[in-house]
Amino acid sequence: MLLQQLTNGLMLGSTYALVAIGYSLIFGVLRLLHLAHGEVFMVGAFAGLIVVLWFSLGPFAAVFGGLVVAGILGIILELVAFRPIRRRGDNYLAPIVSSVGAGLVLQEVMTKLFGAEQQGFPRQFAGAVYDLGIISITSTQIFIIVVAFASMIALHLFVTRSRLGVAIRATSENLEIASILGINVDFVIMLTFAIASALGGIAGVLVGLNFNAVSPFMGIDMATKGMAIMLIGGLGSIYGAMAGGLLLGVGEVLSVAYLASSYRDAFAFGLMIIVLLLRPRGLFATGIGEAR
Amino acid sequence: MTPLLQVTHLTRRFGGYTALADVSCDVAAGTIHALIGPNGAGKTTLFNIVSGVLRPTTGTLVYEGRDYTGTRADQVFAMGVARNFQQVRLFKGLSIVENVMIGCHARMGGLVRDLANLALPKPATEIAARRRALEMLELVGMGSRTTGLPQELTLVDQRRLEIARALASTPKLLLLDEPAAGMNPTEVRELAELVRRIVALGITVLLVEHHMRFVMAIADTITVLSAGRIIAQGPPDVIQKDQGVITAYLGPAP
Amino acid sequence: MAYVNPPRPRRHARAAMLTLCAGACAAAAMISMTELAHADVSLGVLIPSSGKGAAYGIQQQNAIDMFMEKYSDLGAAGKLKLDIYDTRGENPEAINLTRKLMGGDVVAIVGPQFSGEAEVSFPLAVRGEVPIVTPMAAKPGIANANQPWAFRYALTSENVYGPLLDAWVKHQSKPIKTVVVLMDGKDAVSANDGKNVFPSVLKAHGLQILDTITFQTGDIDYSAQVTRAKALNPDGIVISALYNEAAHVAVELRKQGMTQPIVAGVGINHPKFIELGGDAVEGAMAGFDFFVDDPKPAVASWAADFEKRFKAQPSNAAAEMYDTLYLMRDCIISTGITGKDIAADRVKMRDCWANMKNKSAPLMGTTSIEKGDAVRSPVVLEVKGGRFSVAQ
Repeated sequence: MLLQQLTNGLMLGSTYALVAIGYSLIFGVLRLLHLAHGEVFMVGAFAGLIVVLWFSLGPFAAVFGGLVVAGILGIILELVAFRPIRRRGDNYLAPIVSSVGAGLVLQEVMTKLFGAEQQGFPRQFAGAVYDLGIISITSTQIFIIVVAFASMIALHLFVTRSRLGVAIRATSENLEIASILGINVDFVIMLTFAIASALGGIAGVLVGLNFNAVSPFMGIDMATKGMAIMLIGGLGSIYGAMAGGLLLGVGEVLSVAYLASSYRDAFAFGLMIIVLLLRPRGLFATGIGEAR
Repeated sequence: MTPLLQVTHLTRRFGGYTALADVSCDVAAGTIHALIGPNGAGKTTLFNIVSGVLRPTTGTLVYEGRDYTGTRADQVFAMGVARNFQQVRLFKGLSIVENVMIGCHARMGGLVRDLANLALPKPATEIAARRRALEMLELVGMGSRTTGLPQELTLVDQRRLEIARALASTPKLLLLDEPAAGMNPTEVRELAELVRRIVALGITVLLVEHHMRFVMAIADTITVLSAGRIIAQGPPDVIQKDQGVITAYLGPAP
Repeated sequence: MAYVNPPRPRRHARAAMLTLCAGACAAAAMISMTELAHADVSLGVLIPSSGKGAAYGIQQQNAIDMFMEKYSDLGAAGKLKLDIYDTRGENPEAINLTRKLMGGDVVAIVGPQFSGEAEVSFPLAVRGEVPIVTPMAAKPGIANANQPWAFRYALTSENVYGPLLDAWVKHQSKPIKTVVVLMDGKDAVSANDGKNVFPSVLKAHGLQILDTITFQTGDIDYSAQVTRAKALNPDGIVISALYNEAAHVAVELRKQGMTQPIVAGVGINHPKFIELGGDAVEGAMAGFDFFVDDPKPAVASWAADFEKRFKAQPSNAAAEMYDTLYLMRDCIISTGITGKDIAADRVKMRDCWANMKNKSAPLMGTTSIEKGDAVRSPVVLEVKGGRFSVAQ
C-alpha cells in the first residue's frame, strides 16, 4: 500500500512541480507573483480537451495543444498585464492586482464559453490498467509521468545548455546587469512567460487526463499550491520547484492516506511553514531575496 | 579622422546635485584614454552615461558619428560599447564560461535567432559562443580556470573574468572602471600588458583608474575630472605637470 | 412577485382607522358573502425564482404552468388559485412571505424549497396553524420537528437507502459482506448520509463497514483514499457524494484496478455523473425519487411534453412540485374544501396530508406520510450503457 501511495504522490507531485516551475521562472525574472498562472493552467487544460473533442486527436496532440495555447496566453498576459505597468516604473502592487484581474477575466470567459460544470476527457483516454501486484498503474498515468519528467528534463537542458537558457538565468539573477551586458530583457521576460505558461498548460492537460476534472475553477487550488511549493523550494529556484512539487504531492497523499482528507491543505501549508522556519529561504535558496 | 566617441556639453544632475557639468571630450579610435580625478569627481557617472545605464540631463553622445543619446543599455552594448564594473558584478548562478557567454549574446545574431536555432540538433551559434568564451578566458590569462563558479575565484581573477565577458561581445570601445583596484605590482604589470594586447586587437579603451603609475604608463590621453568638471586634458607628460591637477589632488598650495 | 411589508400605521392613526372600519368592514363583509358562493380555493406557493436557486425555481414555475393548464378546475369548489411568491432562496424572505400567506386566504402553503428556508418557515406555519408542504427540501428531521402542520413530499435519504440496498445486495452475483464507505466530508447531506444514514441501513442489512474514508468537495485527486480502500479489499463500495466527486472517485477506483460493485447516495442524480464517470460508473446503483428516462408512460409523456415546451429536461424539482400540487388538489376535492371557511379548510388539508396512505400521484407513484415525511418506494437505478435505467 505504501508503494502505491508513493506512486499516487508522484502522479500528483509531478503536475504540481510543472505549475510551480512556472511561478519560479516568472518570479525569477520579475520578482513578482503571477496570480493568473492558475488560470493559464486551466486554459491549457481546456485547450487539450478541445484538441481531443473537436479534432479527435490523441493525448500527445492534447499536450501539444495545451502547451501552445498556454504559451501564447502567457505572452499575451505579459504584454497586457505586466509590461505596461513595468514601463511606468517600479510598482510591486499594481502587477499583482492586474494579474488577479486577468485571472478573473479568464475564469469568466471560460465559464461563458464552456459552462461552470466539470468536463472530462472521453472514456477511452482512461487507458489500460496494469496490475503489477504491489502497485497498479494505467497506461495514461505512465504517459503523464513520462511527459511531466520529459518536460522537466527538457527545461533543465534548455536552461543549462542553451545560450537562451543562460540568458534567462542571468536575467533572473540580475535584470539590470543582464541588460547592460546586451541582453534584451524584455524579450527574455516574454520568453520566460511563454515557457512558464507552456509548462503550466502541459500540467493542465495532464491533470485533466489524470483526474478528468476540467473546469474554469480548477486553477484556483492549483495556484495556491504552486505558490506554496515555490516558497518550499526557494524563491525563483526551478529545481526547488521540482523537488518541492514532488515533496508536496507525496506528502499530501500520505497525509490523506494515514490521517484524513481534511488535513490535505493543512499539511501542504504546514509543510511550507516548517520549511520556512528551518530554512527561511527554502530548500534550494537562490540568493534572490538578499539582493536587489 | 572622427573620434570613436564624442561627448559634448554633457550635464547630469541628481536632484539638486550636479554630478557632471558641461563635460566635453573625444575618445580617438585605437587609443587608451584614461579618466582620472579625485573621489566624487563624476567618473563613474560619466561611465554610466556613456554605457547607457544613465541618461544625461543635457548634452549629446556620438559614437562612430551617430548620435545615440538616450539609447537603452542593451542596445548600446550591441553597438559595441562593453564595460566592466567597479564593484564586480558577475552572475553567481552561472559558471565561469557561462558568465563569459553572456557577453556573446548581443554580437551573435541576437536572441530571436537563437530561438530559431534551438530547433536544430547542434546550433552552430551555441558552439561558436562557447568557443569564443574559452578564447576570451585564454586572452585574459584564465585559460586554466574555466569551470566552477565565479565566487570561487580571487577578486583579481573576478576582475579579469569581467574583462573577458566584456571582450566576448567583440566591442569597439571597452570601458574599464578601476581594473587595477586591489592588484599587487605584478598583477598591475600583467594588467597593463593585457590592456595593450586588447588595443592591439583594434579595440579602443576608456578607463577610470586611481593607480597613477599604471595610468601614466599606458594611457595615450588623459582627461582629469574634478567636482564634475574637466580641469585638464592631454597626454600623460602634460597632465603630470599641470598645476590645476596637482591642486585638485593635493589641495591648494599653502 | 416580490412582496414588500406594508409600513405600520402609527399608533394615533390606528384608532381613527378602527372607527372608519366599523362601517366599511360591515359593507365589505356583505359583498364578500355573495362572492363566496362561488369562491375559489387558494394555495400559497414559495419558490426561488431568482437568486442562487433560480435554476430550481424556473423548473418549478414551468411545472406549475403545466399543472394549472390541466388541473385548475376543482369542480364544485370552483377554480384552483395559486399565490406564487419568490423567496430568492433567502431565509428572511421565506419568513416574510410565509407570514404574509398565513394572514391571507390560502388553505395551505407549498414550499419553501430549500432546507434552510423550511427550517425557519415551518415553525411559523405551526404557530399560525396552516399546513405547509415542501416539495423539495431534503434535510432529515425538518418536517418531523414541526408536527402536526409540516410535511415533506421529497423522499429523505433514509427512505431511499433501505430499498436501494435491498436491490443492490440481491443484484450481485457474489455475496456482499463488507463495504468501505467513501464520503464527501464537506457536503452536509453527503456527510450526514455517510456518517449516519448509510451506516444504520447497512447494519440493518448485516453488512460490515471496514472503513469510512473522506474526501472534500472540489478535490481532484482521490488516489490516496482509493489506495486505502483497496488495501481493505471490501466486497462492495458505498459512495456518498455529489455527482462530480462521486464520478471521480469511481474513475479512480477502476483506475487502481478495483472492480467491486458501487452503490451511491442521492447526490449523484445528474447526467454529469455518467458523463464524467464513463465506463467506471457502469453498473453503479442509486435510488431516486424521479428520473427523467423513467419508461413509465405517465412519466415519459410528461417529460416529453415538458422538454417540448421549455427546451430543457425536467429535474427532480419540477417533478416534485407537479406531484405536490396534484396531491393538494386531490385533498381539496376529496375532503370537500370550499375556500369558504379558511380555518376549517386548513384543518381538513392538514388531516388529509397527515393521514395520507398509498395516495398515487402522476410522476412518483404512491406516497404515504409518516411523521410528516413521505414514504414510497424509490426508483432503484443502475447505470447501463451510459444511461440511468431501472434496475431489474
